[in-house]
Amino acid sequence: MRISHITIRGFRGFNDAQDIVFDPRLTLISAPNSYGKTSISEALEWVINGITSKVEQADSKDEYKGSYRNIHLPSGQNPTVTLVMNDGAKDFELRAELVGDVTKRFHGGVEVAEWPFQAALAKSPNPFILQHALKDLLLVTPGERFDSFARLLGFSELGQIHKDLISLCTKPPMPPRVKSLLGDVSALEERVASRQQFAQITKALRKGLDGMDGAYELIEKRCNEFVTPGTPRASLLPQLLAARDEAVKKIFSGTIDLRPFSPEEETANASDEQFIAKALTAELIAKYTSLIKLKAIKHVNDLVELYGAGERLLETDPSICPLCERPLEEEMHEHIHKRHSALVEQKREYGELDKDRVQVERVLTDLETRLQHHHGRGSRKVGPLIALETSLESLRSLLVPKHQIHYEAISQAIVELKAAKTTLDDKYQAVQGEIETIRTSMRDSEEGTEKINSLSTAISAYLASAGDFKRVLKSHSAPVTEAAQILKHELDSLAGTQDVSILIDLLEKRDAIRKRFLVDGVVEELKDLRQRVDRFVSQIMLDAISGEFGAEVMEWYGKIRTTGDPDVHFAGFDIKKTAQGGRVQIKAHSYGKDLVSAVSSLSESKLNALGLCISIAINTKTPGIFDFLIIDDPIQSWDAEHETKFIEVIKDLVARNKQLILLSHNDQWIKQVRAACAELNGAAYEITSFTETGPHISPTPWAEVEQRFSTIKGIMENPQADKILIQQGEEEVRQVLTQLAAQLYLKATGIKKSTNNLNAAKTRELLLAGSVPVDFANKLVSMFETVDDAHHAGNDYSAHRDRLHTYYNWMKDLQKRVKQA
Amino acid sequence: MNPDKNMQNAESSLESPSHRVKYLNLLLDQLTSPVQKRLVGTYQKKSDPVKAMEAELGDILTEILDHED
Repeated sequence: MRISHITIRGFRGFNDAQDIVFDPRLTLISAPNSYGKTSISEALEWVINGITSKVEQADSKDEYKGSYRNIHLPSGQNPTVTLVMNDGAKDFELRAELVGDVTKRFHGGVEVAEWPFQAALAKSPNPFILQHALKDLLLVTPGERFDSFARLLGFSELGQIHKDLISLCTKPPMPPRVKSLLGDVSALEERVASRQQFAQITKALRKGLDGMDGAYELIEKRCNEFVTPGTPRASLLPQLLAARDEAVKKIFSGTIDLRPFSPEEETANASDEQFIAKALTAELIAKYTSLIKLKAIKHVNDLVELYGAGERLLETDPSICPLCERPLEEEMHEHIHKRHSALVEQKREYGELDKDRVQVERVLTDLETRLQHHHGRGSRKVGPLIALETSLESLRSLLVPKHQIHYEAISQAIVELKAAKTTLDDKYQAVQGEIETIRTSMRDSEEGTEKINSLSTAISAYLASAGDFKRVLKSHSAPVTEAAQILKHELDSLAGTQDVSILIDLLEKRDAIRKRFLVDGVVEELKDLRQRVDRFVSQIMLDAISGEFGAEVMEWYGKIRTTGDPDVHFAGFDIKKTAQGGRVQIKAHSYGKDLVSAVSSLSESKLNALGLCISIAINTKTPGIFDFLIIDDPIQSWDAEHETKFIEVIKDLVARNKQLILLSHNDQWIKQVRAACAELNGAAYEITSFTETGPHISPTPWAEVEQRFSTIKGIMENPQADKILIQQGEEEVRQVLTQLAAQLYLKATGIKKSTNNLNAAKTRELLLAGSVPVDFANKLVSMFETVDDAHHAGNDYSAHRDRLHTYYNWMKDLQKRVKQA
Repeated sequence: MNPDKNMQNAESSLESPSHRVKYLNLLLDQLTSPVQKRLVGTYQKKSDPVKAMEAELGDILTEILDHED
């Protein structure tokens, strides 16, 4: 895939739309620095990759936000870059348009989510060889260089795997519970290590899991020094606890404990809160308020019983009323029966209300139970600490002034927790009161909306205060726990129970210590994994860079290698394995002796040359979808000899069928390239100035007309000139024709035309605009039938010396007209 | 150039989606530790491999805490 043409509008340095036609083989663009040269390579990168490498590699993307849009582009217009590409068979258009921060893509005018070659793009070597990218490759830390080489060599996935696994192994994320366990055990180990008399235990524990049994034999032996002789192992801990308590309580008898809710308690709290918050559903409220109807049920029940009894009595003697003993008509019988049936139906309806009543009562009971559990859980958490309020003076004497901050942590926690608990208790009582009110209303058939609403409000207030309570508890838990530890050590110190206390902790935390060693084992496994991953990735990289690739880089480097300067040169690649991982080593030698590193030994120009060779080698050895290379300012910091040498690289790349687009700040070097590659007749441009509208790009003839005439004459006068040379002469004639036509057009219209894409028809237009007679113009452009590139010529095309003479004379006539115009 | 020459059935020097799996399979072959195998295996199978691997490590450590022996 080659690039035929680009139009840039409103992107980076470009404001007004500008076109550049690329030669299929070699295009040269020269411009002083800051004239918009790099905007061209960035425009190409942006369309193809969706991002410029400068932005992609930036540490802070924010700094580049909005940088694609030209600052002078009128609002309402979008930065747009259009490429015409050629896949060898046909041209196709790619257009990228920046709408806000979104890049829209159009393939052949149709918007697409991605380019048709997107999948292959990721696998193709990067055809953009840019100065800043070369610096990122070489002049970076060894670790970064490893990543850069991995990317360059197409090992980005391997590099990602390496990065991800190393990151996990270096800083393994620990769950909070594990962190807490490690912290607890470490603190205990520090205390053990601080006591000279526990030196042997410390030594044993340092052996890890393998040393645990031995350590606990020593621990139990020490324990026996503090308990009744002959105490069985199972009784060691209770005896030590009792001994310590007895000693310590002479100084202070309270317990400081403020643990946060455990995960299980959190789950229970959440479940209770959800029930409490959702207990009063709309359906339940409706059922409660409808219970008022039950007030009428007693009367109905009485009537049902009365009419029922009447009906039963009438079965015995239907002619007499059983109540007043007067005679009864048949009509009255009918009435009594109907009335009884209606009352029975009414009673049945009220029976449904009874079920509702049972349900409301059940919900109230459940609500009460949940509230009780929820409130109790909170109360139990803080009760013991709040109870210490009366012992604050004792605490002060123990902790102040040495541990004032911890004393204040405890006293402050007591004040705030007490206030929070008081509020919670009040709200709890309020909810209970409202529940009782509801119950009473149901008992007295005085249900009302305002009563159930009051309960709902009380519940909301309770839940809000429960939230506050939990926040206060959480905020004080850690400081109080820390203060408790300090107090414990202080008490042990005063009571002389430090060793007993350590032994108690060692016995109590035996399982925690064992688990800590198991966690340590996992951490060791991670360290080992890191080393294995480093070795694995390094080996793959080493195989890649020290084999054919290294030879290819060396071959290109050999082409640029100069002889006039000191014999200090690149000598290949290696992977150095270090504790920090794989490092790509760039080897160098000086007069046959190995140097430490090319990066520290080679001059900037040689490093630059090496960077270019690496990028070129990747592109020449790796299959990809692009046949072009865009090389931005390759000769920066180079001496004249390197500059000249690189022209051979350019020729070699073109010979290998690469389309080259070269940008340089050095117009003299560009002229040198044109002269050295005269036979290529590529496209050349010069950026002559830069204004608010953007860079002013002017096409430049590949060779001057007189130079071309001289070449043609030399060929005509060379009796040894073969057909290939004569064909080159004919190609020179075509170049002369288009250049003279453009000169004529410029004189006639003042408009400068590029000769890079002039075919017969376009050339004829220029000639006619320059007042060349039609017959002569037709004759001139007829040359295209034979001298246009061989692939455009007919099958019977053959270079011809006499024809070259004829064309030469026509061109001389045309040159006279140009001079006279 | 063939950076995959120490890999079986290397198709080209460029990575294809299957290369990730191949690299990880090769790495897994070199591992014997169950913990390392679990972590790399998780990394290989999940769509958000880093998070999955971190979660797996969390599970491994939590298992240590929760198991009695």
